[in-house]
Amino acid sequence: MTIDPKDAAASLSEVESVERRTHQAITYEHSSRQFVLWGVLVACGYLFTFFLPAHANIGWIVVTALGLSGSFALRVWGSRTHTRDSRLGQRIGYAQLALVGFGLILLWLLWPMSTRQESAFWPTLVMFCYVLAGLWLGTFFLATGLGVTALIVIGYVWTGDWYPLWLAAMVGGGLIVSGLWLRRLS
Amino acid sequence: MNGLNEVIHQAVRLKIMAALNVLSPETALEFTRLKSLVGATDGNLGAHLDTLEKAGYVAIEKRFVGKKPQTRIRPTPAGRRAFAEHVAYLREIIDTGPSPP
Repeated sequence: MTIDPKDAAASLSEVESVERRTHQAITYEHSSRQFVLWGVLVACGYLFTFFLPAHANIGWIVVTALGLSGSFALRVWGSRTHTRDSRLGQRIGYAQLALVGFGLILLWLLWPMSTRQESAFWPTLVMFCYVLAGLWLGTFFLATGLGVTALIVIGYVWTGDWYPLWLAAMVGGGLIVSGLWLRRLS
Repeated sequence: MNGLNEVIHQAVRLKIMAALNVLSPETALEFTRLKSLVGATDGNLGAHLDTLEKAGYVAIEKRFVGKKPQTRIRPTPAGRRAFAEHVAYLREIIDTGPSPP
């Protein structure tokens, strides 16, 4: 059997295409669990902010701690399928820590902020990261980032005192729905 | 230069090995996911997996999760090596011209 350079190039192109699709499917599977976890926690955080505003800070510290430790647990034990890039999980963990760290610095620089502004600040920062991730990981992240950001801004302008409830439904609910949808795509 | 590996070069088997090669050493892909990644039918994928298993390139594990049967496929070290050699061979053809018959 003889292979000419054109056939060889076509075969290699097919190999690269399947490798890319496999990477994407596994990334989507891992991300879907993270989306659902953070969606549930964020929804709880905003409900806590709405019903017990005096204790909102404590609520968010608990949400962040549960989210980071839950994310770590999901990366370690949550899936049976991983790519050869074993450092990917580590990098995602560091990225989450960097996000919280830089968010706190920005908050400190921009302080004072109203509760309403702070409520919009964190999810907008997270969605900005989703948009950036989408440029590498697939359009789903891009669409989720842009869509949820639009909902954050719409609620900020029009929902008045109901803003935390709006965020619980749109950011928390949005992440849960996205996670479930992502699971179908993976 | 290694010769052509006719087991791996077949289009569906090349896609199967490409998908499995992405996995970390201790993990596997489920049959249904592999099927959608390579775009094959159940029967077609099963036949090609059989060929790859006989060549020692993949290991197939069948088990039950609850009451549902599940088939998981992972590449063997020999399979990964053969795939890497075949990809290197294809690259060499592009660089140096057609292989001899």
